[in-house]
Amino acid sequence: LEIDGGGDLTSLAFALRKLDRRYGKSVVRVGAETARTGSPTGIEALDSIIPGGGLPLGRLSWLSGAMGAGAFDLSLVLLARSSRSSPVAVVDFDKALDPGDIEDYGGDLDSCWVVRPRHPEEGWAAARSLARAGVEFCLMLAREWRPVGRAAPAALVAATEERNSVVLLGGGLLVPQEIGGRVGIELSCQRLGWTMAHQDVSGLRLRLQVERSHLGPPGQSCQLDIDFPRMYRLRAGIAVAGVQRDGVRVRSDQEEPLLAEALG
Amino acid sequence: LSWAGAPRLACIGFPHLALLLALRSHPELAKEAVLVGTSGKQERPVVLAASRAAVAMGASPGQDWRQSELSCPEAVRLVADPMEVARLRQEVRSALYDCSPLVEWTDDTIAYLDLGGRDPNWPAESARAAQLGRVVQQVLLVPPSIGVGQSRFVAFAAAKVAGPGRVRLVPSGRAAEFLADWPVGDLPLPPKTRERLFSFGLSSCGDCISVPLPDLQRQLGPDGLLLHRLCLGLDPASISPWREPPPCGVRRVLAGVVEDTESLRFGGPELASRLAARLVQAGRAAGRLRLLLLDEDAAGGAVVAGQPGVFWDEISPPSAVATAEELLAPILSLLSRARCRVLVIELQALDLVDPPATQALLWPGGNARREEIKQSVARLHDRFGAELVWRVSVKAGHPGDIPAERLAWSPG
Repeated sequence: LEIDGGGDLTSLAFALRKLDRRYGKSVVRVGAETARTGSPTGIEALDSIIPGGGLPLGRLSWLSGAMGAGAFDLSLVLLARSSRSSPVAVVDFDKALDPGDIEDYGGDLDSCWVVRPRHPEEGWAAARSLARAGVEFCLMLAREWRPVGRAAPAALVAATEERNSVVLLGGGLLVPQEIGGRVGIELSCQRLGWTMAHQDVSGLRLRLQVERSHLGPPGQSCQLDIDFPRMYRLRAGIAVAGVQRDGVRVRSDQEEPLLAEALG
Repeated sequence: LSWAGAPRLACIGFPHLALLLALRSHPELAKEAVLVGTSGKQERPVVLAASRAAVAMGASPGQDWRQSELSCPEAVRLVADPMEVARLRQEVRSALYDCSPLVEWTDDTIAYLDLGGRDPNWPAESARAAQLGRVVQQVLLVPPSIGVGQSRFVAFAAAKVAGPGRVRLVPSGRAAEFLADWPVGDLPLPPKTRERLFSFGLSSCGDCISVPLPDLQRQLGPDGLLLHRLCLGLDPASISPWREPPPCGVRRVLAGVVEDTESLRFGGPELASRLAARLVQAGRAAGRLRLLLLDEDAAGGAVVAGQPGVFWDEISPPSAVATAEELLAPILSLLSRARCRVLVIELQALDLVDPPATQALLWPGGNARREEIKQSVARLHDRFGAELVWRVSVKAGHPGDIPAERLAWSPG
């Protein structure tokens, strides 16, 4: 206020206008108007708990969770949503991904590049190259994160920052330090149970919690239901006799007892 | 050393054409700080010209619009009209070509002419230079500054010394004397070379000429020789004359007279592709398109606007157009306006400019980003083998749910 010798709001407005004119509109902002730093996922409950209103741009995000917690499915849902509007890539370290799932979740396989590396270093290098080439959403899937050198995650983060893209690490309970140090936000998944329809499992209910974040306070949580997208022809060994399975997806042998439990 | 056959070059300096036009529209701003810039519709807006008052405040041509706002916030900002500037430029060029067969147009502030040879109307060089000034003043309505010398740099320096409304003649062989006080900082030399000259205590051309050439070359390398020549008025740069580009257009004679001009629209794509081929051949883009539709009476002779039997219309696209895709819309727009009998269609590309910088990768199918990703994948395959990155598609029909049956995998 003292800049212009006044003491009222008029001189403040005048000073602000002067600053705007000299240095541009972005130099002085009201706190509530801070720009979003995240890429909205389109899932309102999820966007509301992440500081910035979506998965952070130019940083690594980690969706952690034990096997069967839903991190894998949620990652694919996010990838599928992103693939509808922009090129995406998925680095499948364990070669466990069925890309048909992306299609089933409503994604566009034409916009999706699938990387199946033989060594972790190849996967990180491929992710970096694709991010630098313009892939907007890169999903890296692994049940266990194996150590890589410090350079690979740093280079990926640099490429992500350069192109303002999203990199999501899907799955796993622990990440090596060189990767963990680069993670901007960690969301943990915990499966709460199955959702039922017509006396059958129709999806998965999970709790998501912000464990740590460079952009805002952690601790926010929400619940999500993920619907299994289509009929799955059961593999030998995990079929449950006498159950109507329309719309049910079963992902692994470990889930079968829970499924049977849920179905009574 | 004989100066008998030395060339005589004239340099004409005048305010930027965009600034002149702006001040013609706003005469009340004549003494004010005025900046004239590009509109910024197609590219980043920059300052084309700055008035003396604006330059004194710190603005300069070539600055970013925002940068100029910071350096000179009080200046009045006006947007240049490129079509008007082009028209005035054409008028000045025509006037200059009446005075000399060789005219170089460097930018919209300076022109060079070859004053060699003799003009029977103006036998004396001073009279010829004065006539040159009168001709330019008639077009621009402001007096130019004119310098005449044995080389390009001497003429430029003479014009700078002369000032508006004056002519400075530097006789051949007297250039070194004329340039003796010319500051080293204003020589067309690399900044590092100029700094070294200052560090040696050489501040003017007279100082430099007193240093033997071998010493200059030993200290400055090739720039030493250039410096020596500049100080003697022997710089080798010559005039690169500007020539009117050859006309670019297409002409189609129909099998018979067409009265239904709506049907002409079907010929639009062909006209666009033929004109685009011509433009590609010339390496130019069209800033304006002119359509001439002639009936059987007008088809044979010379055509002027307003002549009976001639439909004459022009269109200026928002940006210069060069490809068939870009040309098609304005051509269809021109054709849709026509209501006349047509035997001959003539389409002319005017205001030819360098084609806009387009990213070649935008033209293949898909978008540039996908092409970039494909190139990146190709590099990854070269580095790690072809089994690293895959494209996956769902097979047609009902292949089943087993991934091996359902999905088709292809490298990259």
